[in-house]
Amino acid sequence: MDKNNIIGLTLMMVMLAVYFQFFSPEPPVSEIIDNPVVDNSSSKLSEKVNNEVPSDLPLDPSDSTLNQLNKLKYGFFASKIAGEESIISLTTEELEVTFTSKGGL
Amino acid sequence: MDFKNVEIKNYTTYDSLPLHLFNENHAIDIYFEHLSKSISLKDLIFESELIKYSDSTELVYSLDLNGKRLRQIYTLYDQGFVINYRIENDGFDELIDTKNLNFYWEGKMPKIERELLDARQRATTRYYSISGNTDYISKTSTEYEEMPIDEPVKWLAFNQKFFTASVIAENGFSKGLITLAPSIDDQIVKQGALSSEIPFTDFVNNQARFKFFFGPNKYSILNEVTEGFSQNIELGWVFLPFINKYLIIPIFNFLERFMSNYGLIIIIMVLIIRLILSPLTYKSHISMAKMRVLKPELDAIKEKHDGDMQKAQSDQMELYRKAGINPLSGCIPVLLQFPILVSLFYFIPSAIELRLESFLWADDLSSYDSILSLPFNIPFYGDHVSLFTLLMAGSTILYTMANSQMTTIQGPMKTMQYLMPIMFLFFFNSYPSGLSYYYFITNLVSFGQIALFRKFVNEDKIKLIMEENKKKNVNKKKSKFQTRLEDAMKANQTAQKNKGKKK
Repeated sequence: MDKNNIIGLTLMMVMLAVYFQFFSPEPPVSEIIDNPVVDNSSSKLSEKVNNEVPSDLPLDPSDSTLNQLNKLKYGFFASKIAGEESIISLTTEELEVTFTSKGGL
Repeated sequence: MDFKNVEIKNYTTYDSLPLHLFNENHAIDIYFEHLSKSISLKDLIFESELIKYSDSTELVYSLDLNGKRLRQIYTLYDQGFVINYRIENDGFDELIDTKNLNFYWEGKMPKIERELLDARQRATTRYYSISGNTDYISKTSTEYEEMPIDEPVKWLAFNQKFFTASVIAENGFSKGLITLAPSIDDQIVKQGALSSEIPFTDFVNNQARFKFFFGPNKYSILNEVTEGFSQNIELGWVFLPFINKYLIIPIFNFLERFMSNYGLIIIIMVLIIRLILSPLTYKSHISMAKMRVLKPELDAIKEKHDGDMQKAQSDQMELYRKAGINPLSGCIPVLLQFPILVSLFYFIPSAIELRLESFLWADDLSSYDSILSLPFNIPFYGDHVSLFTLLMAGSTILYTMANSQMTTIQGPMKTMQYLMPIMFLFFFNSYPSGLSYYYFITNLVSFGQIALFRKFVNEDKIKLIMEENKKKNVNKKKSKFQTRLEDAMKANQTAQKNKGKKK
């Protein structure tokens, strides 16, 4: 490798460096935000287990209405929807695990 | 029924906070269809019961619907990172219309290491099939990706740089799908989901048994969990994992028992590995010494055949043969050392033992050290100066200089030798300081080794032996390979001559 080769290589390195410093493409951040597929992946579960009262139904938050809705939504399982959620914590030497008797989304 | 939180007690995040591998950003669910409605076990309220045994605790969640019963049983042992989980069915299967039981776990992997970019490039979702196939979603992908698994699955995992959360099916899942997506939240490394199907016959026959794993990526721990689980540590490709599993990691774990300073452990590890390799280094040193002794004669040959490279080469070969040295024996030992250096390149960045371990000015051996923060970013270099990397590059240059006085390498290779350390300087600046520190110590030890060899290897003696060889080898038959090589060279020469004549 003679002098010219080294000069050539160095020049190429410098040009690459300049390119990446000043002309490199911006990371496509906005694309990630707008990407609906990403949203889907994270909300699939929450949609499925979402048991909020739909807003276009008559708003009477009495227990009986809620029960009716649960019946519509869960059928046979409606009786196991309402109730107190209980939380249990267990500790071992390496882990501390908290369980719930109901999903706490 | 569900986990709400899982904390790994003996580890913390980089900023000394409790380390939660499962938190409000995670959800596990099992769902099925009943009268065309999708029912999630997550929505139902279970009765709970706690049973204590001598070395374990059982937590039983049960549901009773008019005599059709479902029980979910978690078993926690006093030690270990595994939680056993099984589902017991007592007539409950009749409520499931499509005879499908789906498992779904979605989660956002929390930020637990300081370097977010590095953590993101080492986080993925991964699977391992019953037949031993394993794959993961590209760690560098910048968009949502999914990977269907069309065969029975053994385990599925959220795999981060140093920690893994996973579900293992003792009798396998029927099939599965893993997904992975980037996150714009700087407290989240990546998000993903693991979904699969629980084989219905397993469920009906009370054979649906699983394990959850929440723990560190430590080879000795992962290896005990289940088959293929050590895949969750990146140990290199092809044969490199073998070097790591059967040489590097055992030495490392052995030294850990006696000392807690990881800087010292690395020094001793270098010494041990150099000692193992020293027969090879010695051989290469001797062969280089021989070459050096022959150098005046080689120069004479070159001068004699000035310009005619091929003739000079065949004369060179003749000289080597007479002196009884194999020109390859100098570089083969060096090549054999190379795999060990490369396997450490994989082992050190993924060694959880070095995580948050400080040594001298490096406050975390698993991340880069910085003695100077630059106000600007140098392309390919970064915005900090790592002293260990500087030391490593500097010592490599010195080592090459010292070595080049003894070798006969000339021309472009000589420049390349000096270009490499400069490239290292850029390449390793953001690599774990433990790695550049290891290479630095390796250079120092090699340096000492060569000084030692020089002291004990007498060059005059070598010269004498070679002179004797020359006399002995005059009538020695050439080796098959050498005859063939020379024939090929001669054929080449005549062909070129003919070509010249035609012109």
